[in-house]
Amino acid sequence: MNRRQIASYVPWQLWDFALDRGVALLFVGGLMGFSVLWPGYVALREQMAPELVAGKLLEIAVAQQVSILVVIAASGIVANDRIGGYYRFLFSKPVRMPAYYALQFLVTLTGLLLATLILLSAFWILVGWVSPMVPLVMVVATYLALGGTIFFFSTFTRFDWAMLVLLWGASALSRTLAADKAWYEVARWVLPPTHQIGKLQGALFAGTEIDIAGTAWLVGYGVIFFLAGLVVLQRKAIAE
Amino acid sequence: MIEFHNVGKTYRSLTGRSVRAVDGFSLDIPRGEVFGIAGPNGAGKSTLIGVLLGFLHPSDGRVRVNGMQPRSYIEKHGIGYLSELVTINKRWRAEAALTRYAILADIPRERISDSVEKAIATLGLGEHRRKSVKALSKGNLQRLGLAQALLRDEELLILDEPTHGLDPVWTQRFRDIVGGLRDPNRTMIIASHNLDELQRLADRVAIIDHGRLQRVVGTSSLDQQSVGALTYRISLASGAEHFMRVFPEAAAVGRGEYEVVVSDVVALNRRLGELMLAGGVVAAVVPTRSVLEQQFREAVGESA
Repeated sequence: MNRRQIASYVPWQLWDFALDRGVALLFVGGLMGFSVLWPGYVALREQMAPELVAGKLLEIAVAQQVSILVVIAASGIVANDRIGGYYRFLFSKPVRMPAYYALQFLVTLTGLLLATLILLSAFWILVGWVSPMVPLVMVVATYLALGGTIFFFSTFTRFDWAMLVLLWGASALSRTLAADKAWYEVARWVLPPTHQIGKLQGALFAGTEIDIAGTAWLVGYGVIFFLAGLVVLQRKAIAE
Repeated sequence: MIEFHNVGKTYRSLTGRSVRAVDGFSLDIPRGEVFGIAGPNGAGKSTLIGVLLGFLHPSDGRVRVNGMQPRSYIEKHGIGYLSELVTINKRWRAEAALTRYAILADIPRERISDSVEKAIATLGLGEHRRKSVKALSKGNLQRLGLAQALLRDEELLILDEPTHGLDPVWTQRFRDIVGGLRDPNRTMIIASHNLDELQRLADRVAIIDHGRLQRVVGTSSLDQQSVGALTYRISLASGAEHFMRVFPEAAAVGRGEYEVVVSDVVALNRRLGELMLAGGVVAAVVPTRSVLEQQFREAVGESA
């Protein structure tokens, strides 16, 4: 896609995202926020100084919601076009599939950040002001890590989100149950670094030093999958 | 313009079962030709078009469009394509869908509106422009699919079952549109079950069955003459008493109509001349089957 096509087409992609995923993100985010955070808010108000409550609640919200919202936003980026057959008209035009879906991947991140800001606005109104920087950084890092992986699966299966849950679930389980096993020494370099999400979030909220290597591993893992997805789109026939 | 060289396509399932959808398909389609593809259900037409668009990779052989790999050609130049199933995001509105496709077709921004308006006018979508795709009837959806294929003056048009779901008025209109698109620099491929349509629109028609090219049939009147015995239905306004003398082998089918078998059109004309000289008045002479239909029956029958 050339610059003219990108500049003209991005607003349409954002609009599609708003209708297709934005509403779902706000609904799920709002529902989770209300059902989990509100009781927490009531309890924390009695235990903590008022100025600390908002920060603590936001930390809980980010830990609970960001991964789920990323999966909702990023699932089916390629798979939905394959399932719906929409690729037929899209790619009869002078458009390269990897470029189209790379743009879609970035638009999805933009839409996710906008949805996060809307949810944060509700949080600010109902609970109080907290800087949006940490949640936004966590959304970007988690999106690149999980979203990149789910993008790769989306290039060849409609069960992209299920594959992601399997892979990340296997990683979390093996880290918990088999960390002392010999095979885990190899597996830990292959399986996604799920624990780095928690580490990054902890450091960001605590204001302590960020593990740069661990964060690079987390983000790089997803970015490698994303790039592998682009290679699949370039080499594999989309209707196969 | 388009070259299929010994193309084969085998689908394999995860359980190891395989289906040979296209086998040893070779064909050259020159620039400027309107080329038809006919075949029964499951003959391999859609697979062949999928391979031509680069949506499927051939298992054997090669396909070239203007000397390039199909995807390379499309990514560089774009084509006009109407798929058998018109699949457009159901949430999109008709006009917005055309605008999106116009952007992707790399139509300059200042010309997008004109291109969309022209396509809407050509396909009569004015009253449906604000409707969402899911609210369109089958025929209107088909017209929207055609409209997106005609947004730009493409050098290559591939239309898969283009009149599927169209009413008779729009079927005729479509034929006029295709007629207007004929150009020495534009190649059109039309896949259809409708042999009459292909007979009217295409210069040549490939008949495929069981994934194999059975024969390529020319549709011009010259090609008609080259075919063997033909059956015609002749309607008489008057002079029935002379008819059986000129056509003793004819079979009366009622209401002043007869079916005759002739070796070629020259013999038919000679005998019609005799009939008219004897005082017979001919109201109509219609082939009971087009050459294409006859060839199709023979080809599919032979391979079955």
